[in-house]
Amino acid sequence: MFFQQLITGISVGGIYALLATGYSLIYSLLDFSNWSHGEFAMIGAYTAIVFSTVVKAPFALAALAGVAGGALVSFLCERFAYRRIRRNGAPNMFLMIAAMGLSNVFQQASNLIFTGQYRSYPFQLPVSTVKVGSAYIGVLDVVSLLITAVVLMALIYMINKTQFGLNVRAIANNAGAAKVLGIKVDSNIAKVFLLAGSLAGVAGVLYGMKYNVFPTMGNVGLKAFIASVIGGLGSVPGAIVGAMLLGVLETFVSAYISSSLRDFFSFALLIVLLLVKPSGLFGVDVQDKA
Amino acid sequence: MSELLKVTDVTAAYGGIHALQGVSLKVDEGEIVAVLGANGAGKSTLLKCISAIMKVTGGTIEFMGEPISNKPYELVEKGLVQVPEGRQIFAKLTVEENLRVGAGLRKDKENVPKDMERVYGIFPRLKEREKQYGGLLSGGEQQMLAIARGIMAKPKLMMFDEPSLGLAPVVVSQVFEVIKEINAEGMAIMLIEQNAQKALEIAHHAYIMQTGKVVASGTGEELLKDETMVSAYLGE
Repeated sequence: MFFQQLITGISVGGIYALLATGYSLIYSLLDFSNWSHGEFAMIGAYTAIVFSTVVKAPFALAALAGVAGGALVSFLCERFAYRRIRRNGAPNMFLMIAAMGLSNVFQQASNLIFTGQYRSYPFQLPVSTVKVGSAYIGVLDVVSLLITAVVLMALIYMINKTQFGLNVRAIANNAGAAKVLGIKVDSNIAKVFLLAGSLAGVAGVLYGMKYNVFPTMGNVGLKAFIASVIGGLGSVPGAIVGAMLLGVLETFVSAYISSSLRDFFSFALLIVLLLVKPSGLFGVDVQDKA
Repeated sequence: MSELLKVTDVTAAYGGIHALQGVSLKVDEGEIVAVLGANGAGKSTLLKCISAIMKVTGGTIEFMGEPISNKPYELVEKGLVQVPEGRQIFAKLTVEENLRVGAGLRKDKENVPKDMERVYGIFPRLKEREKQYGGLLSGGEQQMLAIARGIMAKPKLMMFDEPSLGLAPVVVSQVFEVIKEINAEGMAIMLIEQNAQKALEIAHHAYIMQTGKVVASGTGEELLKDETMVSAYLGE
């Protein structure tokens, strides 16, 4: 039972992590919490629904379309909303308010287009379980976990080992100096929105496979946001650890205490952590000496 | 020697305040040119105009015979690189990563490791601290890192904004030694400084600015001898 819950928890945490890393990346560059980020998961999930039911594409292709859908809308939000607000020199609060507005627009729009009905992918998803020791583990959980692991490892590699990742970290650290040194700040920000949006798309498709697709599913973004705060806003590894912690905690609370207390515990963990370590688990700042 | 940078009659303003009122100067290949002046003389404004951070309201700035681009990354690609005031190193990146950011726009990636070794040769201290975060270095080491980061971009002209600011005298001397050293290897240098004495000692040519204008120019030696000039405009 314990092992089974642990795997489920990590698999849920993985979905949170895919979104939480997006919050962290964008926060690290622009110092604002992109409240519309959860909706990119919802948009990705619906894109996959449309591709698999209307276009009748095979599932792998529909899933890829979902990822692309999340990425595209995320990019468009940056290009036509956030970038303009930044150019006007408005305070970051305006970005956050715009993001909240966008989030609402996306939710209402999907409600109008797709109605509030719960939808599922027209494919036989693996419902079987595998027996490991005395525990039964859902194949879907394992698949979701593997996909998440591969995607997150690719992300960490990209951030730490490529010139793109280096440039992004340089902008996050000191945007002015990065610009003077010839880093294309706006184009890198746009790429990060594409990246974050595609991660959200992956999360949306996986979430939709597990819990169906519905207009308010983007609210899972709130959990991911909590996870990224727990991990330390702006830190990608922090977001992953925070997400895993949150996923496992929620699953255990649901299993051993009560599923109606799940969110109570999530927020309690956030509040306690903010009291004890306001910068989050990985939010250690190296002090500037200059 | 051919002209690298040519600034002709440049004016610039903050709001209604004229920060530059017709500044002209030039930097030739292989030269060290110092731009001196007290606080508020317009030195940093001039640098901001050259590096496309600020718009000019009149006059022209040419680099290698062409008007400068208004995109900072194109300037860096062409070989006009800045070592900004206050170092501005990346505190949360390691020393090595700071250097790799500097080399980010280069097309000849295969030569980057070789240049990295060369830079470590000039600054052995940075090699020792390769894996440490930039923010953990001392002020002098951070200045060295900022210079090294600039060198990694393979500039034709390197512009220094107040490199001696906030450094201990012995470290200042080291910084000027390094500037001389990289100039000896063929890189042109433009040096914006308040520390006139030190700058004039190494400069081939110098300009003295006051309230947005060039009020005197000459070789470093000439200006060094002319003590009235230096004390009148630089208040030393």
